[in-house]
Amino acid sequence: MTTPMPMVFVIDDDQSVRKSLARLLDTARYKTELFKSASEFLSRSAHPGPSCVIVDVRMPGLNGIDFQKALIEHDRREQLIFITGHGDIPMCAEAMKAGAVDFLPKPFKPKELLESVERALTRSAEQRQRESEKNHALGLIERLTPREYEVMQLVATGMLNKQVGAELGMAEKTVKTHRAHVMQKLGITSVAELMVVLQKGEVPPHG
Amino acid sequence: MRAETHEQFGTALRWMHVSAWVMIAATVGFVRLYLKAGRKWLAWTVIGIRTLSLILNFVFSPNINFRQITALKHIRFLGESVTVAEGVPNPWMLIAQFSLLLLVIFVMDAMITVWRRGDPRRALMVGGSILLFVVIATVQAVAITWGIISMPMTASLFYLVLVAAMAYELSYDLIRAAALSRQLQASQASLRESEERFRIAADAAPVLIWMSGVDKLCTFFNRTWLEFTGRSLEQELGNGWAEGVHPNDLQQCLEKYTEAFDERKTFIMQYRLRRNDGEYRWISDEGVPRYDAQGKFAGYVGSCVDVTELLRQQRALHQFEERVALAAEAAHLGVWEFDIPTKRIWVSDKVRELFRFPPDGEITYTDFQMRVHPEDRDARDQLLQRAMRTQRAYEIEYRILLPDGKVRWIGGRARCFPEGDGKSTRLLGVSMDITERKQAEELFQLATEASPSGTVLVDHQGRIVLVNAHIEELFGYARDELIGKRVEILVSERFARAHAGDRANFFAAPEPRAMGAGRELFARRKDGSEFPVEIGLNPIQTPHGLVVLANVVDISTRLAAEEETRRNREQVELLGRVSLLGEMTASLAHELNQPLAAIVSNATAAMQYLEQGRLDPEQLQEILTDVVGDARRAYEIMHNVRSAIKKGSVIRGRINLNDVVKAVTHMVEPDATAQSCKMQMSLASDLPAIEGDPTQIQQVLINLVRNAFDAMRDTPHSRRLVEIATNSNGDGTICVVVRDYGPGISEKTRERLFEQFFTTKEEGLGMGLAIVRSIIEAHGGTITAENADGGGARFYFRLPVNEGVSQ
Repeated sequence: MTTPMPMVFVIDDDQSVRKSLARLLDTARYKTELFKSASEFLSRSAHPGPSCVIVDVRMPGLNGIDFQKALIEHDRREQLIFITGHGDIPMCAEAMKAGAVDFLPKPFKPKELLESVERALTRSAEQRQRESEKNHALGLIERLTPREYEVMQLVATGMLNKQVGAELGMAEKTVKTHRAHVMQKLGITSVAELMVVLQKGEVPPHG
Repeated sequence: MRAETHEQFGTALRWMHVSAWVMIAATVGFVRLYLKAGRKWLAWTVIGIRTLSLILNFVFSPNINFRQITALKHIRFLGESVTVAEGVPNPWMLIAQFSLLLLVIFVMDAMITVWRRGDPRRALMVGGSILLFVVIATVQAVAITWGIISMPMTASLFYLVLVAAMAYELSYDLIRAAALSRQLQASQASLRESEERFRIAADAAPVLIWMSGVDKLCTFFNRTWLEFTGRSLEQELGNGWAEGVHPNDLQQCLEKYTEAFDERKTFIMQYRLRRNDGEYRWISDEGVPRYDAQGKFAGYVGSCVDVTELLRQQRALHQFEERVALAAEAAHLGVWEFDIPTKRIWVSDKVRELFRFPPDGEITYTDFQMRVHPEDRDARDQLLQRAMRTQRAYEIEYRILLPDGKVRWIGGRARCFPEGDGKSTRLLGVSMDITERKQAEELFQLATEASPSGTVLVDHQGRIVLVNAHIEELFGYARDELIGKRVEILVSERFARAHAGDRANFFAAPEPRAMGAGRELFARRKDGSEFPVEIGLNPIQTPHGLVVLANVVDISTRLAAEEETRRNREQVELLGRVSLLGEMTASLAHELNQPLAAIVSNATAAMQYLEQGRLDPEQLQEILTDVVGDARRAYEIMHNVRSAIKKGSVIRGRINLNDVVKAVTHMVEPDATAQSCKMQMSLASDLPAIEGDPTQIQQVLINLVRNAFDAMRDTPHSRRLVEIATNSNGDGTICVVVRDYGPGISEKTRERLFEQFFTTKEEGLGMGLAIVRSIIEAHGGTITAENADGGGARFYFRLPVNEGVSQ
């Protein structure tokens, strides 16, 4: 699996702010893309790799806060950093509550901004990692037959083959066979590894 | 007794028994007839057996005493020679003796009867003598016959004793009869005398007197009666009097008389009797039975009084009472009377109805008390006791609990009625059902409570009668602290004096209207703070006089909202004029921050590139061009501000700073109200005019005054004051001072006070005072800030009088 490059997007209606930010980010070797408005950004397809969006709160058209809402609605996971010329506390609190990484008043300190960007990208990468692992695990689990799935769930609770057999009404030997299939299909060799797969796939515990 | 032979003696003795029979029969007869005693059957038995012995006496020979006479003896007896016989006794003689025994029993029985009848003397006299005689005769007969003693048969001798006793007895009766006859004569004489006296007395009596005999017929009428009826005694006697009785009353009158007479009872009756002038008068006639000296019923005696006048008065009184009762009834008033010494209570039917007492039977004080609601019981009792003690009247309202559990309100008044000696023993009271009124009052109270605004009820003297919970809340008073007080305590001191006059005017021409029309009204809380109110007045005519229902609405919130709107509008106007203050500075900050952010970013980027060694000259130039562009942009923004200020100076004119202060005071009044600040102006007279831009100077003052308001956010309401003063200095400058009573200026703050972007306010931008200073300096003046004596800050600026503004 190849991980796409991290991207930093800047949305600000002020051209010189946009441009200066692009330069600043470039010095930290981030790949950037600039947008005059939030709607312009939304019309672009989502970046598959880790991504961070620096967005001005006050903008004509869709403002920063509404933009954040729109993203959440569309289940987009871009990490947000708000910048504002004259921000107010309630707006800031709202944005942070909704998951923003930071809220920086202009004129911001470049160092602070870059630190925030780094934090945002890390968070985004982790999030992507989690998601891909989840997808992988779920993909593996999907290959199990319903009977194997049942056996797997009980095994994951720490039951012995005998107990699983009693629970599901099958011979211990049959349980053994199913179990071997599960291990094989999931590409694992121990119950501990099974637990990791289930955790990554965010499979709810049995019961 | 002088017989010479046996035969002679026997025969004589035989015939002697005949006389003995007679004697015994006579004795029995005497006892029965005279003493009216003795048993009849015993009497006949005695006589019967004696008769039998008499018959046997003639059967036996020679007689019943002897079978045979053997000898005759001559003995001397009482000086005479008499013959006694000796012989064989005949046993049958005992029959004769037996009859004598029975006689004894008969007499004794009769004696006992007489004795018991209450005449022991007669019993002893008669009975004793008979017994003595019989016993002696019997003993003698037996003794002689059996030869125990020797004497002749001389019963008659003893009989003499008996006869003597009888004679004595009879003569005793005679003597007594004679005595009685004498007594009778004497008493009749005295009776005549007393009757005469009675008649004289009766004639003199002022009442009408009559007498009747045992035959119910009247036997006497006194002179008063005769004079009254104008008839003669003869006409009235018997049943003649009845002719004078009113025909309608006669029947009843006679019935009553007859009935009472037959039962010997006292009677009182009233009937009309014709007076001598022909008018029928009402008579009250009281008759009592009379008895003579021997206790024998003798008829009736009666006395009559003319009661016509009395009846008329009684009827009038009765009619009056009826009218009172009727009036009380009509007014639904229950009337009661309490007799203090006897503790007896009389109540009218209405009271019984009100208290649900049984329709009759005695009502006690306790009965009353038990009906009274437990919560009101003691209070009522105390009031009553006090009223009785102090002889005062009282009024009361209390609740009673009816047997069905319902509560009824009773209103009552009572007073003591003094008697002759001035001391009252009677408490007379009225009670009425005031439940409906109370319920209406309660409803009124509930309605008042439910009213969304504060409600005050004020009587014509300006005293508070009632308030609702909103008033308590609005003014911070407890209800009890207000009731009965003058309504002016709720009015701001500034208006209180005028208020009394306004109130008088209102009562002179009461009609619903808003109070203090057109004026701003301020109410005063308990803590002295004031708040703006709107008051609606409604006159209510009550039985107790005119009262005013005042609805008080706290309009500070509304005023604040109004002020907010007004201020917003004003700000829009201000922004349109100078684009300096308030929100404009925010926008200004935003505008400035954009190029500043860009400059900072670009410069940082350039430095980074340089460090990373990847900055080519072209790129550097590009970056620097952008930095310069942004810097210029920032300058432009600032320049616009300054030029706006300077542009204002185009409008130049002569300014009277006093006018500016007045105008500003007016403009910031909404803020002052909203922040509960007072403003005080102290303006110098004959202030020379200055030259300048009135709008800009106005902005300076507005800014300073609003800052003053803001500075006093934590100052108690009562101390929130902004003083604005103008002074003409001798050195050709005018000084304007704005002083607040806030916390003052800290040493640290003071140095940077007029710097741009320096602020102590959370939401401030630090532009206000910077601009203020720009303006003042543009006008060739100076501005200073310092802490005032007694707390708070003082800002003052000086402007030259005839100095042009430096361009």
